[in-house]
Amino acid sequence: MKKLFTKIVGVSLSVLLIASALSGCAGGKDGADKNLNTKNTAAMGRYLEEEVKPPEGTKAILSMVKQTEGGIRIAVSDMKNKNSIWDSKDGGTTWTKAFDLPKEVEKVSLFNANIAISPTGEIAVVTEETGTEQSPLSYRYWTVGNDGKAQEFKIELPEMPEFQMEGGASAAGSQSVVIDDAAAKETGESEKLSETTESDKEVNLEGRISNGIGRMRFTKDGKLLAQDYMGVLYMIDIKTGELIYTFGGDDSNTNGAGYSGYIMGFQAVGNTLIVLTDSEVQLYDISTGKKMDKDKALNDQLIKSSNTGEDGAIIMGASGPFAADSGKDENSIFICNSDGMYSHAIGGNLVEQVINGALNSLGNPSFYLMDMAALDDGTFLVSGAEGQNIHKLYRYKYSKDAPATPSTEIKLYSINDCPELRQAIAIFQKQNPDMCVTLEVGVSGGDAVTVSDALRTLNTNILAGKGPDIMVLDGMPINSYMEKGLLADLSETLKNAGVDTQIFENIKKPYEKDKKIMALPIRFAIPLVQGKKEFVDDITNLDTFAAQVEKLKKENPSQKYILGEKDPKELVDLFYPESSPSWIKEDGTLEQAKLTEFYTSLKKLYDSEEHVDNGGVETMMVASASGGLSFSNYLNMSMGMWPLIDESAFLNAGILTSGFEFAYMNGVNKGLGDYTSKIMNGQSENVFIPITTMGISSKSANPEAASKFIGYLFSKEGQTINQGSGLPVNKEAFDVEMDLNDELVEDNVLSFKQKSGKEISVKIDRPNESELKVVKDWIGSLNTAALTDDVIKAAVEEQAQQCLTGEITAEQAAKSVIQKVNLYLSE
Amino acid sequence: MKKNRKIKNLTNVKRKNKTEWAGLLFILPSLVGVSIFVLVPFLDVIRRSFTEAISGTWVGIDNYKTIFTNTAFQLAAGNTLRFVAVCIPLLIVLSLIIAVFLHRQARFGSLLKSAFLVPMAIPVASVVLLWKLLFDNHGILNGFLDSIGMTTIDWMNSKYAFWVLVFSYVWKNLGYDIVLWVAGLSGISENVYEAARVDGAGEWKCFIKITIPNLLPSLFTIAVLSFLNSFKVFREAYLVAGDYPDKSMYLLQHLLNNWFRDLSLDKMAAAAVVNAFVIFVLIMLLQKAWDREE
Repeated sequence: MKKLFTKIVGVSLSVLLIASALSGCAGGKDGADKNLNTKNTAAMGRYLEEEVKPPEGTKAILSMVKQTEGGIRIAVSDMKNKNSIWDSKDGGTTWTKAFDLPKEVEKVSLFNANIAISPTGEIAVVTEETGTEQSPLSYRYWTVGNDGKAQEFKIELPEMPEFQMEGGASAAGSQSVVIDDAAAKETGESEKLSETTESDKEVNLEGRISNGIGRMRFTKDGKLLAQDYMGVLYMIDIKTGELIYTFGGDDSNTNGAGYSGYIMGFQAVGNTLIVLTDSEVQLYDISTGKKMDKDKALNDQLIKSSNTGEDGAIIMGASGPFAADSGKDENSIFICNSDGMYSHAIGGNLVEQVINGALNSLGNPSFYLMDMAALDDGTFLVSGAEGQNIHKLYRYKYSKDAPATPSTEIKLYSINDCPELRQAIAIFQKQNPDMCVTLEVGVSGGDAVTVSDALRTLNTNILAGKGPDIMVLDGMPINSYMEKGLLADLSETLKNAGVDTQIFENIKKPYEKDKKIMALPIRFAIPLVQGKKEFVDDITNLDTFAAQVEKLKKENPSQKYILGEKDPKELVDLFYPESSPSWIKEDGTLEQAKLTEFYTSLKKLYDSEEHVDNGGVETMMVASASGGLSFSNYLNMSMGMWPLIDESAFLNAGILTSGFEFAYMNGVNKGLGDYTSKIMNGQSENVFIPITTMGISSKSANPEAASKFIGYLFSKEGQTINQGSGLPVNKEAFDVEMDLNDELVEDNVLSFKQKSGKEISVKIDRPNESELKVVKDWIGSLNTAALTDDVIKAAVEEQAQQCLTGEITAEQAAKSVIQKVNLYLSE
Repeated sequence: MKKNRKIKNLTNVKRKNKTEWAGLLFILPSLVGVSIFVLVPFLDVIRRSFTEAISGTWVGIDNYKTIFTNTAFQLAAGNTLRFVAVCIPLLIVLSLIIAVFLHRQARFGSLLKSAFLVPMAIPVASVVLLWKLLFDNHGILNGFLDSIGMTTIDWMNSKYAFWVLVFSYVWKNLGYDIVLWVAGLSGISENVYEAARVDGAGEWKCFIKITIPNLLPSLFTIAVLSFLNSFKVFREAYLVAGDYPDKSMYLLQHLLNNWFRDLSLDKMAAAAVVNAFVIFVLIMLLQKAWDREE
């Protein structure tokens, strides 16, 4: 009996052991999927976004604050840069002008961040006086009461340390910074150094720069919280200008002691000051200035919501750090950032998401969050800027009839992140509240995942039936996916969306196989060469390009650069797209002779330039790579135009990616006189570079929804979303792209003095008819898509380094590439 | 009497059956695990080797035809066989010689044994770093060659890459095999050697006639384990040279890895079946040889 009992126990334990070991294999969808797919039992109720019209004639929203007496007050500027204050008692539906900002405040330019509204309606304004050679840039501080009258007050801020020029020397002489607003907006360049003195905005760098207030907010009792240009945060009495508290350091009340991190943003909510530094969230009691206990839940949420770099530090995103407003209770607050809106009680353990930012404009990467107001009727108003110059005001209103989460999910996969795609997703979701588009990025850059690793994970998911509906095929084995039938035909999708005829035929054609389009880029770039007409005319292919550079170097031995300093990787990046299509033989393998020619030409180009260890370029390449573009920004034509202007190079080669760049290039050509631009052929002719190539998975769980999103991406509206990565493939959107905004062309004249003493001016203007014809002719001639195969490019790049620096010959480099690539192609 | 014998026979059969069933129960948990995680998935792999990757359409033996005509597969399979053919005998012989030497070292034997095991304790990431430092075109080895006036060699991008891989495998696994051999050597009674020496046998004769025959049971285990360990060398090869190393060290694992990246599941499945079949046959041959010797 005892034996039998022992046996039963033994068998039972064995079964239990096996069962528990296997329990981990139980399938099942994650929570998110369950939510999205249980349409009939889905929870109802969600905040929906609607755009609110700001006061008539508004160009920019400067500040917005909920008023103690109810309603909201907003500061705006109009098309003529006139600033005014408006009130609304009905949550932004109607607006009543309170007053215009008085002349004392109007006479100098205002920056958006330099105006604050108190909960009782008082306004604080910082104005700037342009610096002269005798005295540096200075700032003046004003309050404007409800009667609209301005009164100046003084703030004694610590002086800025002496400005240091690069290399350690103090700023001196006639050096000045020319800030080219329009160029900066389009190209990402923030400033350009010039030796001339006259320009749109000029900041004297001689000696010391004045300290001033950069950002400010009011507390509920009318004290001003202001952060100076050194990053220190103060509480200021605007009546006396006295610095009441200096926040920071471990002891809450110190005199300019350093913070444990740089302040990314701050908000006063009730009696609490919330400070977001680059490493943590700090809370201060406004009435005492003392640092409060750490609010772990809030800290975790805001830190989690922010992008973090490799060292864990927060990186400032386009959407600003956060905005906050008080709730109905003393300690309750609402916090808003790019992840959405959250409700929290100061000191509490819970941070609850009220609005999901992924489903509206809050998650739009180009949306720059400014202010928010939590209104008494339960709605929220959020102000911000899209692309920094289109100001928007959104209302979030609870709808009990809307499903808590969208009923249809579209899964999108991309190896690299793509801000344009994120922006398109945000707008598409706004237009389709029943759909949710999630973008999964394979290589985030913050971990050790390689492209191969990401692809293997993607394939595992595809085979497990959990793959994406739509794929961004840049860097993926497109041909292999096509052969295996993983990609669905896009022809019907484009036809149903009514965009099939709107897409440039010759961009579409290389992707047509057996009357099917399995993949299609949403953007493209044109490789161009720019320079003196006599130099450019002789360039017809890579060989003649190299010969021309060699010839120019021989004729001008004192000229440091002909094409500009390019390292081996840059030269491959520049000439690989235009040359690689010619390397592929009919049997699919690579032609060694062509590859040898390629390396020989690149070697000539490399040897014609002087080379120094250039860490700067590397940094730029890394930065652009993290932006997720296949062809990094440093290849843009605009990056090489400055060397042409200052005569430090004779030729500029790169890719044309935007209408502004085309206008800039035309302006430079006209300004320099006998300069021209034309398509740059490598070993192949008329090549275009596809950017963000899209495909729909044939295994998609939601093919109709995926088609709808793809249709949107190729529509005129979807294609006008542009952050400068490439030209739209939609003809109508292309016309919009070329019809530059007034802001980009109005008074946009850049004046330069060349080394030879010749003064030139570059006027950036809308392309005229003949210029438009030129670019359209270029596009009309394009007929070959550049290879986007990362394996081939990586092998070519690897050998280029050794070949161009003379370690191996062109023949050896080509042989080595052939061996590796043919192996890859034969797989 | 006859009846008693019959009853005794029946009891023996019963006991034998009972013992067999008990044995089965012992291996059942592991058998269930292996079946679920290895055998059943492998049956699915066999099924997939006859279908298309995405659509699942039946294609017969097309996938097998494809892989046998695929030059990448031919190269990878050839390299893998060559690697096994070079490495296993080399490792077995080398480790045996060192094991015999260490077995006789009374003083430093265990210390040296531990020293040979050190490579096994080094993490793969460190091994890879060491490998890169040593064999890079601008690495330590080339630096040394350059300093003595010799021509440098691009070790990882030439035919030498294969021998670098062989060296890495032998270096890493030598200690493990030595320990296994030493365990086998410890099982041979010293009396046998003494008796042979009394009969006039020399060291070589003792080694050939006593040591080798007595180590044959260990040989099978060591050969199989060395063979299976040879597949692990891919980790180092992949981490050092990536998806596409020099063609001399392009192994089957590289190919399967790359096919997975390209979603060529059909070719992968066919190659995996062929691979499994070859391994199975090799192990069976080894076992048969061992059984015959016993």
